[in-house]
Amino acid sequence: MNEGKAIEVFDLRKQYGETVAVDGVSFTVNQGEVFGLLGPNGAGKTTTVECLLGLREADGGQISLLGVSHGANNDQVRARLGVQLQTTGLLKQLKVREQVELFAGLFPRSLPADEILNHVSLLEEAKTATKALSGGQKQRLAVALALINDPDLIFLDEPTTGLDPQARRRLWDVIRGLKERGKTIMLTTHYMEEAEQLCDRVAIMDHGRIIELDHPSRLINKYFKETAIDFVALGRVPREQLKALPGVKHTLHENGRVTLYSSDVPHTMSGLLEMAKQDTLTFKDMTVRQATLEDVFLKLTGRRIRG
Amino acid sequence: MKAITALYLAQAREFLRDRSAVLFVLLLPVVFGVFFGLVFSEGGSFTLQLGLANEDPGPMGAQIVMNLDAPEAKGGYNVFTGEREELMTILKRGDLHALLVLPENLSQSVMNGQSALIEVFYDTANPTSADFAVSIVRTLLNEINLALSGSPPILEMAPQPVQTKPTRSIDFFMPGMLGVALLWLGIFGTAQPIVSQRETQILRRIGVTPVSRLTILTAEVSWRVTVGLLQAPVFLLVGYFGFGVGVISWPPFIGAIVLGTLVFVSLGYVLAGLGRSTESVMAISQLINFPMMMLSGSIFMVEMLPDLFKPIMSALPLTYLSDLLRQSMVGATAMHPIGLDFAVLGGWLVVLFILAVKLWRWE
Repeated sequence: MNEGKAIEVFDLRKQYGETVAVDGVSFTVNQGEVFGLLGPNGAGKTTTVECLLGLREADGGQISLLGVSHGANNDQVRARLGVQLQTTGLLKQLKVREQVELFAGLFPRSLPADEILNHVSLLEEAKTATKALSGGQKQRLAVALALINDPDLIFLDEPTTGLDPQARRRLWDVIRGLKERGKTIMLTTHYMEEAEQLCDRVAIMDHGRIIELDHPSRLINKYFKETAIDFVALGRVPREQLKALPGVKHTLHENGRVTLYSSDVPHTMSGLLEMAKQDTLTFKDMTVRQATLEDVFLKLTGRRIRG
Repeated sequence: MKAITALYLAQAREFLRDRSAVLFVLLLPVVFGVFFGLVFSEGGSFTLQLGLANEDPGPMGAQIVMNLDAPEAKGGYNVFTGEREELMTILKRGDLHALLVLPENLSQSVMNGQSALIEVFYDTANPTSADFAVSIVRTLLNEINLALSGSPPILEMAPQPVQTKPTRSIDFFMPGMLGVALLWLGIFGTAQPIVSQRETQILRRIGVTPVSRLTILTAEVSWRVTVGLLQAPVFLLVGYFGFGVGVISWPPFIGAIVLGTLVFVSLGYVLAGLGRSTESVMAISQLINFPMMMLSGSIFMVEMLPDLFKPIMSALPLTYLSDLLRQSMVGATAMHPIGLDFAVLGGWLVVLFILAVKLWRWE
């Protein structure tokens, strides 16, 4: 298999009874790349990762990690993998540093425990019992355990789920730091913003299939040459009139929140102001922004990714 | 080796910091052993409480009272003297086992060469003490009769007690509870932590490191065997310094501890494999725990069990472990030859080990 590829997956399939969890997924991850698997809960992201790691037996397809076919079954390859699973898998009576030392003992080579703890800002909690940690701290500890062997390829399965915004940003910094050091990272998430912020390439998954795969900004450009204009409409929304405004390609309307995708923002805006002058539309909180992955997902699936 | 050490140490910390595991596996069994040993030690020696009402104004009655009440005469009974009515009330209350009444005409009759009637009242509520009371009184009267007749005794008894190992109840319970301790190591020290670790998916997480599954299991089992081997010194320290219960024959004792530990740790892995959740494993465990404890002769004597349970009893591994421990620690009478005990335990180990391997699940 190809030297420069960290992960190669071809036609991966996994079924639980009647439910098809992964339905013919193929992708490759280049070395040094941060690759995102993005999709709502139940899209098949975790199952894909678990098949890659050999935690589940795939029903079909080919997998290679770091150039080795079914690499997860190979001790040499496993020694170069860093893994954070959704279920953190921590021994609850151990203190934080003891937990790191346990995992350090499981690899032929490992980094100093304190360096790793410092890296995820847990050095002050080194002597705290694992069961006394907050959710965010446990999550960061799980990430720390994924880094102890200075791995070449890192799997992070929804590392920021359930974290408050501050803790999430702190983990993002950790992930960016890893990328700077040339690590290959495979990340699953259902946060669009996270994928946009961190990933070099994103695979959008839905119902066990990859429906799009590209760089986040290229995906946005591909689907939206337009700029998004958001506002909250007060009172009746004249939808037909909005659609007919100059430059408007596409409109969305949800609970009084309106998004117009416009290829000609100045003309659309003056049209909107004209409607406001004539009292056919009252609005507040208007923002003009670039389209995001959320808009892409919405357009591709007709659903928002969350809720 | 580095990985085994790391995993062993982690398991040790996880166990030693888990209060309920330490309590059930290391402390409670020895506490129960001592507690049962002390509570049931009353039953070992029975003392007859004898009431004596002397209504004879003459020398004969006084003589009998003196003989009975003499400190050197007291073997197995205490004498309480008093009025007939008063003692009768005490007897009826159950605080006396028997009451002797020396009649008013005792001295008179003896002097005239006539027989006198000594009334004996006894409590029939407890047949054992009633039999004992009547037989002691009969012996006493025979001695008095003989003394009065003036003829020398033709046949005398020379009591020569042969000292077998004294069977105090602490001697029964300490080895029995040591066996139960190994059973609990399997249930509370093995099955329970394994399911809870399986629920937190720690084993799965370790599974994606370059550590082989054999290494993980080796480290885990080594730690649990260590706990098993720690239990014996705990019992021996408390037993020997507290009650003089030690070991009289080391080779079978050590063999019993090692084999017993392996059998019950394997049982723990089987139980962990049978249930999916902590709750279901605990339910299955209790289903095994209670019958094993009650029917193995560990805390109830085998003779006390109805015949109905005998086949179950003779199938349980703990029965043979307790027998081995009693023989090797206090020299109790063997229920089975030592070789049979070891053979049955070895058989159980093979069966449980195969089952444990077959039922083992990582998640």
